[in-house]
Amino acid sequence: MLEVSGLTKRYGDILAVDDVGFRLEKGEVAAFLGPNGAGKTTTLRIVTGYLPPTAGAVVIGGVDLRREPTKAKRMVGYLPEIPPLYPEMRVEGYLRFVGKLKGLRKQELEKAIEEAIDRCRLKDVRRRFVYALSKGYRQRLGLAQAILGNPGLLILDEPTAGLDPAQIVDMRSFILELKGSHTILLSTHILSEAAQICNRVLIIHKGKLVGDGTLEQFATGRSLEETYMGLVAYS
Amino acid sequence: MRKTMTIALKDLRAYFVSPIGYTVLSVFLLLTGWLFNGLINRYIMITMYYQQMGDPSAFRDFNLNTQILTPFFHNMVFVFIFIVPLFTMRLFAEERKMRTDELLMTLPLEDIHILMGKFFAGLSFLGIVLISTVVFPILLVIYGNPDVGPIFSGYLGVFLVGAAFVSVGLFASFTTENQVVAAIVSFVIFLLLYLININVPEAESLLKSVLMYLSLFDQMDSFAKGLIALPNIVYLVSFCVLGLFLGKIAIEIRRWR
Repeated sequence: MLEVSGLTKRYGDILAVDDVGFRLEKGEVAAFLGPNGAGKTTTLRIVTGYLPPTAGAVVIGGVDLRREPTKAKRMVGYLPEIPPLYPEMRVEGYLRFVGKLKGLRKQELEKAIEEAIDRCRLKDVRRRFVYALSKGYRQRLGLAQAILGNPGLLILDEPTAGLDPAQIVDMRSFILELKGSHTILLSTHILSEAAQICNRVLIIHKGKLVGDGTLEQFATGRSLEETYMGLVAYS
Repeated sequence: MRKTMTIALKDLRAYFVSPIGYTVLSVFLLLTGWLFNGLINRYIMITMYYQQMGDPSAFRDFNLNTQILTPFFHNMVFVFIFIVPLFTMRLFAEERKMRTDELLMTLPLEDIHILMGKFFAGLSFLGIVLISTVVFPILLVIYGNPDVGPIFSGYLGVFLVGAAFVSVGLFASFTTENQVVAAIVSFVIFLLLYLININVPEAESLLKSVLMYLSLFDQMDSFAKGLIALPNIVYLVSFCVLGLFLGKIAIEIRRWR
C-alpha cells in the first residue's frame, strides 16, 4: 500500500531525513517512533505530498506520488499534528468542504459525512462552530476529515498528543476500530501506545531509520522500551 | 471547476463571518462617498460661478459625466491602492498561519484549483464592493441626467483594474504567512504602478510610451470616458494572467522548498 525508498530531506546543512525506506502492506498498522525532532513529522509530510523530498520516492497504492500527485493523494487521509480546521465553519460544513475537495458528490458525499460523523462520534456537535470545539473534539474532527471517503491509507501525526487520558483511550479505541479496514501509519513518542495499537514498529532517530520490525520481533527477549532506548539512546 | 468553486465559496464566505469583509466594505464606501461628495460640491460651486459669469461657452464639455463620473472612477481606483491589499492579504497567508495549507496541499487538488479558487473569491468580493457603490451613480441618474453608457464602461474598467490588483495581492499572499507583509508588498506594488508615470520624460520617446502604457491607472482613462477599447482590455487581462502566473510560481516554489 505504501512504499517509501531512499527518502532524504535536507534543509541547508541539516539533514532532517536520511535515506529512510520502508514498505507497508495492506491492512498493516505501523507506529512511527522516535524522540522529538527525529524527523517523524517531516517524513509524514513528505509521504502525504505536503513537502517535496530532496531525494527518494514515495509510491502509494502503486502510484508514484511525484509523477501523479493528485491520483496518489486520493488514496491518503491525513491528520497533521495540528488539525487543519477552519474555526469559522460548522462541523458539518467543514466535512462537506473537505469532501467536495476530495471529489465526492451529492449522495456519496452525504453518506460519507454521516459515516464520518458517526464513526468519530461527532453527532452531538455536528451543528457547532469549530472554534467552539474542545481540543478532543477538534482532534476527532481532524480524524473525521482524514477518514472521509474511506481512503486506503491513513497517516496520523501524533493523534493522541495533547489529549486528556480519557480522550487518549477514546482515540486509541477508535484507531483500533479502523484497524483492518485501513492501512495506518501513525507517529507517536509514547511506546505503550505503539505496543497497544500497532503490529509494526518503525523507529527513527536523527533522521535515520534505526529499527523496523513487527511487534513480535521486538517483543522477543527485550521489551520495546529496552529496544527503543538501545536504538535512540542520547549519546 | 467544482473544486475551484468550493474553495472560492469558502473564502468568500470567510470574508463575511469575520469583521474583515464588513470593515473593508464600510471603509471603501466611506472613502468613495466622501470623494463623491467632494466632487458634487465642486460641481455645484463651479456651476454657480459660471452662472454669475453668464458665459455659456464655458459650459462646453461641462457635465455630470466629465465633472463627476470620470473623476469618481479614478478616485475609486485610487482607493483600491489601500483597500485591495486589506482583503487579498488573507487569501493564502491565513491558510499558512492556521496550518490549513497542510490540508489543501495534501488533498487531491491541482495548484490551479487553489489558485483560481482564491482568485475568484477575491474577484467576487471586489464585485460586491463595487456593487455597493452603485448608489452614487444612481443618485446622479435620479437627480440629473448623466449619460448612462460611460457608467457601465467605467465600472467595467474599475472592475478590470481591480481584478489586476487582486491578482497581485493574491501573489503577495502566496509569498508569506504574515498577512501584514502580504499587505505591504501589494501596497508597495500598487503605489509603484500608480507613480510609474511620474518620471515620464517630456519629449516623445520609447521610454515615455512604455511607462505610460505600464501605468495601470492610465488604462482607466478611456473606460472612465465611456470608451471600451480592446488594447486596454488586453492589457488588464494580461496583467491578471501575469499576476496569477506569479502566484502559481509562488505555490510551486513553496512546494519544492
